Formats: sequence, structure tokens, C-alpha cells
Amino acid sequence: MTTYSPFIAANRFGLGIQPGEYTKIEKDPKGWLSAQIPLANRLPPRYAQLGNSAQLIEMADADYRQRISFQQDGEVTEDEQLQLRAAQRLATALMRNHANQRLAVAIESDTPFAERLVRFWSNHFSVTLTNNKPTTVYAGLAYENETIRANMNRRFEDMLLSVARHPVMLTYLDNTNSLGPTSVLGRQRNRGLNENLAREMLELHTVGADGGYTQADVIALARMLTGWSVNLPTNTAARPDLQTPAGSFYYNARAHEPGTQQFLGKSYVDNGQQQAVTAIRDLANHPSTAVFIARKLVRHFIADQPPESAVIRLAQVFRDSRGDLASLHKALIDLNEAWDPRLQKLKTAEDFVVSTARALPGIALTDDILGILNDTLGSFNQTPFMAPSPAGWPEQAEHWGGPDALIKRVEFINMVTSAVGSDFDARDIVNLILPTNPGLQSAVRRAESKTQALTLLLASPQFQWRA
Amino acid sequence: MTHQQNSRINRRQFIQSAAIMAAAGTLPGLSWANSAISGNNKLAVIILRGAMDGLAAVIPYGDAALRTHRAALIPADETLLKLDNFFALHPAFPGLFQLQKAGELGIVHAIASAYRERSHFDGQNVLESGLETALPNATGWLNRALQVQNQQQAMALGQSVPLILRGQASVGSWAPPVLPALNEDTLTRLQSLYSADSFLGPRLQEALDARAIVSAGMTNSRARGFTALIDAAGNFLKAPGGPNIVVLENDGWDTHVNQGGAQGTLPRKFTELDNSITRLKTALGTTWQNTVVVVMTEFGRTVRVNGTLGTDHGTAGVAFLAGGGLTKYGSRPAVLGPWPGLSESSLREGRDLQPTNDLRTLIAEILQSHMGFNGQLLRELVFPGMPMSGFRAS
Repeated sequence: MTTYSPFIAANRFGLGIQPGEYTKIEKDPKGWLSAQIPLANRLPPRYAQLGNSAQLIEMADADYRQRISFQQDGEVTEDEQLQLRAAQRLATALMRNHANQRLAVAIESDTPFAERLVRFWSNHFSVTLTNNKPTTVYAGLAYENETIRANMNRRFEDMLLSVARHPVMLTYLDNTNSLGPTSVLGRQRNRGLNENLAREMLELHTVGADGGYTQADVIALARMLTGWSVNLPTNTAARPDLQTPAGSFYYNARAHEPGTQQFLGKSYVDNGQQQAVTAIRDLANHPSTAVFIARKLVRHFIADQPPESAVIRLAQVFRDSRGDLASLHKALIDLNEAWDPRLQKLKTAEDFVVSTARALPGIALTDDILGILNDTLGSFNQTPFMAPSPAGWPEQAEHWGGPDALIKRVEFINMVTSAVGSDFDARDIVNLILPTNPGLQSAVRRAESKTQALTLLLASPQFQWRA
Repeated sequence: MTHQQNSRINRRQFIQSAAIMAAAGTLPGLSWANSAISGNNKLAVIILRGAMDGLAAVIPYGDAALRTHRAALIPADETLLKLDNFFALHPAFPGLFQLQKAGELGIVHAIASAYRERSHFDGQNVLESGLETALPNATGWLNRALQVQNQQQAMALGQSVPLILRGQASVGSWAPPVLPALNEDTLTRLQSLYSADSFLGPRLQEALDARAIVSAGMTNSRARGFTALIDAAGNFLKAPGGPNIVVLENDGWDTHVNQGGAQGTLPRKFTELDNSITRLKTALGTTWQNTVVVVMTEFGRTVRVNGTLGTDHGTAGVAFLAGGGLTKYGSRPAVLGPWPGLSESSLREGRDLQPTNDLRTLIAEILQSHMGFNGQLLRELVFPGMPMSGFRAS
């Protein structure tokens, strides 16, 4: 007999419970979660005015070109310096605003399970945006909304395809530099393949490193992907496709490697950009993909060491529904293991910060406060779209709960409670945000001040875990 | 994180007009006060959170019952800083002892707020609201006082504005640029919570051990924590046009376990408080002469030592007054307030020191005679439930 705990619903599958949510969730914790699944593709109003990726990429590209042109024509004049600094200020403000909005969406969300799912998939298809790829630095949030959020109620293959065609991913994993060795451009420039996107798509996005592919499969996929690029002017020329917006997807037939490709035991005839589309759809529905995705979901939401029974069940649903994401998300919360209080996950740094803010309703989410929280994420080394590798943020408690990380969390809570500790009565909150724990309750009750009580509650081991 | 939002300090020079002073009413029971009102007078309020053990701070060594209740907590007789033939300061208070000799210290024993339960939260709520019971949306008595007499400027020193200063009147706030260090007591309590967690417990311990090593090797070049607030209090109060009232908070007084007799946790807190007041005197310079510092806590602690060599939540305790401003009140006993006694039958509920004064009457006294607040308004708006009998000096 499974007990559906409102705390597991809100803390394990959401972003941390808000004290006021308890009574709402308590009636039907599982129903509260499943009702959020169809809402996962809604765009939060805060994101409405932030611009699409094509606009943001074009803007970043223009900024980059300006920098380069000032530097290339010899000495950077004083006027040019001023222009550069002004552009830099705007860029910083834009990126801060995006980061702030993303944090606010998580803190305010009334569909926190849907928001967690978006973040799970966004991390699955992780992009790291640095100045090495200057054209995409503004577009992380747009990428997340256009590829992940927009596809939340579709199939895994749709999401995968959307990711693979997205200018941010094509740039991040170097497909924009990949030329078919015998394509027109490849022969002209005597250059060839870049396997990066193909390899990560196999290893990280679909079948997994043990999914049964060879180096020949990597090369075949890389060849099929040649020509998938971004519509941006190269050097000083105009953008290659004047019919579609700058900064959007562009298929460059002149870079495409001609010929049929053998990929994972199947033949794919060369029908231009459709060749990779067909291959990617098959890859998304590969049996190994079902298991790889199932294990990753269970590891993310339920336990660092995923119970095999749960993995088998989810993989089954993945295959039966042909990767229907809503079915998969529903199946996740239908698992008995999902509600097992003995299984535990440690909060990531981001979720620790978000759940802290959610536990303290009424704090106005001003730019200043969101900025401080984002700086905190930086000090925890979890700035959004800055994961250390294409594998995204790690899952394991060992990663998030090291000694230094723990003390930083305690110090963060100390900072928060120093500022707002006297506004909250932890005695009223403790039973509304965490499962009954006599030791914690008594520590809170016996604290010498409201500030200390709130510190003990939010810095407690119980609040580090997702139970 | 919101410490900037209340920083609406209005630095206008305030002038206390003679008219306002003339309008000052009188409170009953002004037995030891004379009119000491001056337009330049300053007030510092220090809130000790966690409930200071008044019987350990100001030891009624002349009370025959004292030893039977708490022998383990009393320092050797010859080390006591005797104020008269009945009361002594704990030996960790040499600075206060000096002030007492100079007429710059007032001690009130067996004093309490209106609160009679034993919760820190509610006790602090009542201490700061000045009301009868703890209310979730209460305003602070000092804020209400500022509303009735808006020439006064108050400032909270610390990361947030405490309840005592909350309300409609605009107040300033200032926090040191470095975050307050995690306090030792909070860390100890956290360690105890983490000890039950087999994964996180050892990791937190490892981090704390590493920190201890690092901090042991560092010299404290910059004033931190409470010292920084004391320095700020001195600077603000003596600044022309600055606030004339400051509020400071000091944590760590909840001594349930091993509080210590001559030495230990509580004597270390005494030393900190003693050094702080001495430091404030130095920082204020000549401004000390027209300053009164009020040191208060939410309640006292049990008369008997408990099973873990500490004390539990009690009722009446001690309030300190310090400052050159006190010399204007003339000669008075070293310890003010009627003494209820420590015999079994005198104890409140068989365990606590019985209150003989309401803190509000003491504060009203200071607000009126030192800061020039109107007594009538104090009684009606600031402390509406204050006993009519007023402060009892003896």
C-alpha cells in the first residue's frame, strides 16, 4: 500500500513546498502532480518579452562583429571603447535579466513538477554558453523554451529533433563547422567532419555510451548531420539564406556529405536534410534509448542508485508509447518507488536556493534579491547554462553534498535568515514544509530566537534532502 | 538580504524644541529620576536574545537560599565584584564594575516584561512590542514612540530591522559589509541535527574542522560581529545630525547546558557584553556623557541549576543601564528594584525569580526623563498596558 506524501510530491518532484501549498497538495498529492503534466509546455508570462533565439543570436553576432571590427582596424579609439563598454553593459543587463527571470519562474511556479521536468530535460540536453561561442551567449533561456518547454507534451523524438536543429546546440557542439569531406564546400576548403554533435547525441542524448554503437555509427550520423547550420553571415558576407531570419536554422546543401549511410544497422538514403531527420527519429526510438532515458529519469527524481524495477517499468512505457513524454512523466509518478520515503535525493544547489525562497513566501522578488540569489548560484558553481560539460549537472549526492558545499549552504541560509529571520516563525513553517521530525521540531522550538529557529530549519539536514 | 530596503535614514538635523520638553508629562513613580532632559541625549538599546541568566550576572550572594539552588554556578566568593553587602557582579564584568563606581551604571534586578510563559519567540515578541501578549503582527514600542515624537531618529544596527523598531515610523538601518559569522551556538545546534544524518553529518563535521584550523591561524584584523556593531553605534550616535537612538541585537544567551560558573559559555558572553559597553564608551568620547544604554533580555532563567549544569527558561531577570547620562540621576542604590527573595515560598511557580518590576516602567522612565518623550503619550500609545504604579526603585 503506497502512501502518497504531500512532502514527497512537492519536495521530491517539485521545487520545494511553499508553506501555503500544504493543504492544497495534501488532499491528493499524486493528483496534484499529474494535473501539472499537461501544463508543462505553457510559457511562463515572465518569459513572454525576452525575445526568441534567432533575435538573440543575431544581436550577439552583431555585438561580436563590432568587437572584432574595432580590434581588427588597428588601435581601438576612445569612441570605440565607449561603444564597446555600452554594448557590454547592455549584454550584462540582458543576461542578468534572463537569469533573474528564470529563477523567479522557479520560485513562483504553481506547477513546480512541470518546471522540474523542463529543467530535467534542459539538463539532459545541456548547453554551456561561453564566450568561445560568442553568438549564442544570450540565447540559453530561449533555447530551453523553444526546444524543451515547447515539446513537453510531444514525443521524445520531437524534442530530440528540435534540439538537434537548434542553432544554440548546433553551435555549441560544433556542427556549424562540420563539412562533408566530399561535399562542395568540403572539397573547396579541404576540410571535413566534426563529430562532436553526433557523438554526444548518441552518448548523452539517446542510447548512452553502452547503447551498442560503434565509431562507424558516430561518423555516419555526423555525415548525415552535415549541412545543419545557422543562418548567420560568415565573415563579411551577407547571411546565406535571405528568406529566413538571421540566427535561425539553415540547411546548407553545399556542406552536406552525399551518399547513403549505414547507421545502427540500417541504411539511410541521401535525401538532403531529411536523411538525418529520419535517422534521428529512429535513434530516438531505439530500445537502448528507452532504457537510457528511463534510468536517467529515475536517477534524477528517485535515487542516485536507480532501482532496476523502476527503470524497467519506465522503459516499457517509453517503448509502448513511442516516447510520449506526458505518458512517461505520468508513469514516473505511478511508480511505487516514487513514493518510497526510504529513497532519497539531495537537492542540487539551484533547487536548494529555489526551495529556500519558496519556503519564505512574501519576500519580494526584486531584481536586487534575484541578483543576490543568482550570485549565490554562482558561488555554488551552478550558474544556469554553465554546466561543466555537455553531460550537464551531475546527479550524485557526493557531488552536491561535499563538505565545502555544505558549509556554503549553511552560510547562505545564515545570510538569508540574518536579513529576514525575524519576519518568519519557523515553528509555524516546520510542519508545512518537511515531514514530521521530532528532533528538528524540538530544535526549532527550543531555538533562542526566531532567526536562529529559521536558520536551524533551513540549514537542517532534512531541508538538504528532497523527501 | 533586504537590509538596504529600510535604509531611509533622514539625516536632517533634529532640534528638540523647548515646547516639546515643556509638554512632557510626568509618570508616577519617578522616585529616582530628576529632570535630565537635553536635546542632545542619546539612547542605545541592546537586546540580549536567548534570555540572560540574571542571577549569574548580578549575584545576590547575600541571599541565604542562593547556594542551595545553584552552588555549581557561583564563582568563588573572593572573586565576586561586590556592589554592596547583598549583590555582586559576576567577575567577568570588571568594566561594568568601574562604571558603577563612577555612577555610570544602573542595575535593575527581578525585572520582567509582561510575558509569563516560556517561549523565546513569544517572549521576544512581547519584549519588543511592549504589549501584554505576543501578537504576530505587532509593532515595536520604540517605533510607536518615534511616531508620537518624530524629532527622534532611530537606527537598527544589524542585518535586519528588529520588531522593536518596526511600524509606521521611518527608521534607518545599517549592517556591516561582512556577513555576520555563524554563531557558535547555532553551529552547535546544527551539528547536533546533522549527527543523525549518516551521509551529511560527517561531511559537515569535516568542513567545520577545516574551518577551525583556518580561523585559528588568522589574526582578527577587522572588527567583526557584535564588535563591528558597537563601533558603528559609537560612530552613528556621535555624528552630527545622525540618529540619536540605536538598537543592537546580541545572540547566544540560551544557556541550557554547561553554562559555567567562573568560566565557560555564559562568562564568555558576560565578557563580550562587558567589553562591548566599555568599547562603546570609548567610541562615544564625550557623547557618552549624554548617553544611556539599556540592556534587556526576554526573560530570566530558572533559579535552580538543571541536570546539565545549565538553567532553563524562567521569569524575572536583570536589566542594565549604562552611560554618562546616568550621573544626572544622582545617588541611588547599586541595585534597583525590590528584592523578592529566593526562599522556596518566594519563587514564582516554585522555580523562577518573581518579578517586582515591569520592564516597560523602566523604559518609560528613560524615554521620558532622558529622551524627553511625553509621559502621557508613552502611557497611552507606546505602553498602553503598563502598570499605573510605575517603576519601583526599592
